[in-house]
Amino acid sequence: MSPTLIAKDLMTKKVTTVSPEVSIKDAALKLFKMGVSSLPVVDGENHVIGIISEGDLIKMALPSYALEAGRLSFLPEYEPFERKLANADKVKIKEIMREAMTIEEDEPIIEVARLMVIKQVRSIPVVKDAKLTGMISRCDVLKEMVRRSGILGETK
Amino acid sequence: MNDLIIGTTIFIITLVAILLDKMHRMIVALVGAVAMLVFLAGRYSQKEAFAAIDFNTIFLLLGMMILVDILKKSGIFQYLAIKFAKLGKGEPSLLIILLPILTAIMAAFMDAVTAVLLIAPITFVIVDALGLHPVPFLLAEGMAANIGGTATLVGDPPNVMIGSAAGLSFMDFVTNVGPVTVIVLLAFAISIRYLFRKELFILSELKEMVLAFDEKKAILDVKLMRKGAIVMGLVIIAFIFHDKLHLEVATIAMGGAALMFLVARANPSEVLKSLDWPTLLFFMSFFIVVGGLEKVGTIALLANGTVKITKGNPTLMSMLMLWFSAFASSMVDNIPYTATMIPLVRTLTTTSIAPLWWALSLGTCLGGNGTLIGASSNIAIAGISEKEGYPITFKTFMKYGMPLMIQSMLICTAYIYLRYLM
Repeated sequence: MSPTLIAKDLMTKKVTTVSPEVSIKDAALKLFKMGVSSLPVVDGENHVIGIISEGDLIKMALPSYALEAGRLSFLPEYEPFERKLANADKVKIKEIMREAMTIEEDEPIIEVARLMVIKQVRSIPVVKDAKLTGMISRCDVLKEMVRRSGILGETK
Repeated sequence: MNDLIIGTTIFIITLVAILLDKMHRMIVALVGAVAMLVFLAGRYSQKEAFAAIDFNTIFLLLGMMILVDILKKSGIFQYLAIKFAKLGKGEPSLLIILLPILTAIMAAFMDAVTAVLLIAPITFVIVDALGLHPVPFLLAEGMAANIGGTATLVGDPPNVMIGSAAGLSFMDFVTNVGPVTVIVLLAFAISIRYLFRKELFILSELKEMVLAFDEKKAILDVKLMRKGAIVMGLVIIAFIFHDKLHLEVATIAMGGAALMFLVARANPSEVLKSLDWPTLLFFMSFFIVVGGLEKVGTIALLANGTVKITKGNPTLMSMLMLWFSAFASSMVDNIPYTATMIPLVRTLTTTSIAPLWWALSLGTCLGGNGTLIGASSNIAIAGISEKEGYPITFKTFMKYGMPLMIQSMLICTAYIYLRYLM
């Protein structure tokens, strides 16, 4: 029987973060550069105050009614993104970030997995004493599950 | 005497709390209903309270909500919106008439809010792609939805309640309020086009773009669209003949819902999750509140007062009913207003003054266009618009809504007078 793993054991410790004062454009560039799907937003003392993901940025580039208007395939020329993103270098992250769900370092994997499924998030910031210590992603959890199941044979 | 004061006080507090809008109207009505039963315990029984709920109204609304909820997943309404936009050949001055007319037609057979929530987003997309200002279109659609709903028994909740209480059939509504609604809608379309004439210019190459829209690409599920349209058609035919078939409208709506479930194989728990339960519970609770008010005798007092003021003159009573209802329902939710007026008119019409029902229906339904808070479809429109950075204020709405409401009331005044009172 393998020892019980907790969030701390699986998380990525080197986390790319953004400050709430950074512009949307810079945050997007950071997402592309680091190849991650979301960035935790932290204040000067490393407290997680929000999160911003690719999905949030895509949603921002769409007019809200476009999500309610049904299938839009009939409108190939309609690309309102330019207009919606016109202020991307002026609007700050703190204006559009979502409230972040965080998880304590000592939470077991089963709880991490449950949260990912129920809340439909791809990664969760891990905290200790309210300060960010790492990020745990779906990939981290899945890798561990697969490893445990032994379906890949003995890895590692 | 004591009960009269208790019942009237609970009613007034409930009504004021709904008007203040600090708490959801359903919660207010539920508290009011329970208060009636508790404070009138032994005099207004639960049995009487439940009998005061008009289940014909509740099940008609429920059935139609289910029908539309399943049907809308086919994309049929977006398909129709694009068809209508193309009918106008991309001409903005036709677009601002055609899209509201589609909204009105839809609202004649479904809840006005639902009609608006289906058509407004796709309109927003189309007019935005054309570089037009969206607010005139949204305003026109919101108001057209209220006008369309007036035309039929199933279009607007006040009509459902009136039809049910007065034993008026679907065709009674079509033949009595239908014609005047068409006139009101046409006059409205002409006025809207005039009022917004400065906002309606686009480049000619953009008109081509509208004509190039392929409405088939808006369809999400062709099979569901065909089946759903057939079920909806059958339901409308059944409505037309419901009194000859000796079937109540709620029976037909429930039948339609059942048939739609069968042919669409929709998942009940998913469909039921997206229905407007707060409104249904609000209806039931408020019926109980008004039932109490009727029981303690307030309604009879009001009815006697009305007869005294108007000296029982049918012309005066009808006109008072029409105009008072219009201004009242432009400020107050039209569901509690109608629920209160129905027992009153019922008391008055023992002397058989039929136009009073039509005056109540026209005034209440069309009055909703007077202010932003007059109808929930107006609030829905403002919500969609504000989300995208085009807030519609109370003042802006009233600037257009109030004159248009008065225009429609003048038409109704002439119609009621010429048809029923001359």
